[in-house]
Amino acid sequence: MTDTLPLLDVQSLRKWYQVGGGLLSKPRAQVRAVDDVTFTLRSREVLGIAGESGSGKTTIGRAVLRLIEPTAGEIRFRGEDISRYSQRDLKLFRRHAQMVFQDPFASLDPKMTVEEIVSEPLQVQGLIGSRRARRDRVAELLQIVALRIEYLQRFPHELSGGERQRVSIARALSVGPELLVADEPVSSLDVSIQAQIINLLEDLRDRLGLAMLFISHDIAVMHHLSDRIAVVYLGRIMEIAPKRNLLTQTRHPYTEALLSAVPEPGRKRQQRIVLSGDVPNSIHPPSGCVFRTRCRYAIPECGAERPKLRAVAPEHYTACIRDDVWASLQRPSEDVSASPSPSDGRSPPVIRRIK
Amino acid sequence: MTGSTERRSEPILAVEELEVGFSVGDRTIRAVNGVSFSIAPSEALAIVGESGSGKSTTGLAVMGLIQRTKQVHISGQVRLKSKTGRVCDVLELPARALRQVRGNDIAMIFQEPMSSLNPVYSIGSQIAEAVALHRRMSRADSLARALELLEQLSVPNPDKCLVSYPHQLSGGMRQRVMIAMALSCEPRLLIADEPTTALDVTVQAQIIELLKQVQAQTGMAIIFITHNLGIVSEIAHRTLVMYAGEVVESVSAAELFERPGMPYTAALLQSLPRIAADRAPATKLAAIPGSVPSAGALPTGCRFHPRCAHFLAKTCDAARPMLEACAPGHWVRCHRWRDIGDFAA
Repeated sequence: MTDTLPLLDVQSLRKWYQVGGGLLSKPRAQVRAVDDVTFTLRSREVLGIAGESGSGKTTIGRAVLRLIEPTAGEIRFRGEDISRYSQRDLKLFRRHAQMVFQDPFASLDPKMTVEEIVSEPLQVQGLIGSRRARRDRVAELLQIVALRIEYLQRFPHELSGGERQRVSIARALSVGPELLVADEPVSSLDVSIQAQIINLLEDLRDRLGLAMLFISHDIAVMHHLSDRIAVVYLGRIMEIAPKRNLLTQTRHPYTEALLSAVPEPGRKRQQRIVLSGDVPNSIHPPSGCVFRTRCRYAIPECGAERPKLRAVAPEHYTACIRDDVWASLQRPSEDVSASPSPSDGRSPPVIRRIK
Repeated sequence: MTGSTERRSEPILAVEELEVGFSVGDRTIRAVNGVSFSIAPSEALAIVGESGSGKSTTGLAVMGLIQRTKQVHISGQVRLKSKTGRVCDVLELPARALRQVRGNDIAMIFQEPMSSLNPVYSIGSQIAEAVALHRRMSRADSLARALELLEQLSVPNPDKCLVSYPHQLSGGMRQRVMIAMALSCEPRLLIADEPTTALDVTVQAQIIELLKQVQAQTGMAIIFITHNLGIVSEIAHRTLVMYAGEVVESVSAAELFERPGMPYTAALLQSLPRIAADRAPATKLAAIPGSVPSAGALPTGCRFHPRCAHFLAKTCDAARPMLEACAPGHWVRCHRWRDIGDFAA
């Protein structure tokens, strides 16, 4: 019964890059881009992956689709470990999982028409026979992403940024995937266009029942679309929780700082938590908790050993050991138990949108 | 036109009816149309707009970085009160005098610090060069000044930073170096063109705090060019909202969020995803349909009318609206401001 399994189950995912070294010499160092990342994604669920540059969020997204080969770890899609898939199996897997990239200027071939771009995955997968059927399918997809049918014969340079991103979403949807990995899909778009694309993705989730990994540095954008959010820092998950918990019952200092750093329109100038310093080098990450060098709550124990993610509430995991800090900061109790039990694989997204 | 009511001090810069156009083939692309504003010491003015709104072009013109040629048309006035007390028009200055103004009276920082720094010179010699250009100083003295600037900007290990090269620094640190260079001659006006856009949010917060702190210490005026309305509320006193080459609203930063007068500003604010103060689950975003018109094919009448929810045929698409005062210190370019939103009678 695949239905009781999570759609995607990632266990101890690791991607290390070797630096230096030649044919005969050993590599000088390892960059730990992604280190021991574990999470699950249910079908029809949107998991946001939030992090700054160098946090490994993009690497996680690509490794999940095996666009890059993970160094270690398991990636189970409907219970099957895709990290062991052969190239042939992998090609079939791509009917179920697709990706939308950040820059719609770089991810569309300038020499292809919209029709060719959108139908290319169908062709690769051998899913479409006649030209007629192909055109019908592309027209249907354009309608889904709210582009007019005239766009079939246009080239990418004739489209605006928002329209291009719609085309790349249509391309990803062409094979009817259940999982969409969206890597910063709105970051390169103008402010007034961002909302259009966010609404489109939200609509697709509801209409097509897509599950999504939504990767972004912008926690405000992500907050809008996600059911749960994972906060990553230096290749590790710091905190993962239903978005409501993450915002109201924050249990990690990095999440706290990230939320406080987001400039909010109309918010009164307030005392902000400004992190000192930069993200440390991932070749030599700090011992113990990787965030402790910038953490305002750090104590000597934080350097002792690498904290593991542990549950602090249903579905809420944190890698911070300082429960004492968070207990004293806890706001008046929010109803955490309102979320459905995590043991039930069929349960709907934890936080539903209120219409 | 945009005289600020609550500020008493004399403006140090007044821009009047600035026009910038580029000829491409037989067409003219009007990048900036009739932009006017002024800024006083210790004031932070935000120029907000999407790509193609003309906000960066305005900044470049004020800095005297756009040169008149056969293809480039500039008109209007950019009057600057220099340190010596003389008032000059930046657009009319000869190249030599302009070099005295740039860096000395007005300094500018850009979005991508890596492409603004020279990769083959050390940080120290680049800052020292900026100092030496405007002040007669020995190499040792200008290097000492560079060190002092880095210390002032709370750069960790300033000695080490001085001998580093740009590629050895992080994005946030490079932007600090750019700010150090801009501040080296104590300019009275800093133009910051999207200075935090290429940076991570936590580093962005650091840079904004830093600029606020420098402003409090030196009384420098700041023009902050950005597309991010969130940053506006963090730093600005006043805001110019630009759309398709025009100023469509000029308002204090506080009022911008409480009573936007122009439908474009209101729609832009509504379309922003935000972590709501009450942290309630969000509803669907109110997206603005369509996209920003290109400067070569501007709509008639109000340039926002094809995307506007309050569009009225034969009014909005007929005449170009003027910038009108809808409240003290609040100007808006809309035919219908009296009928809609918070200003409806």
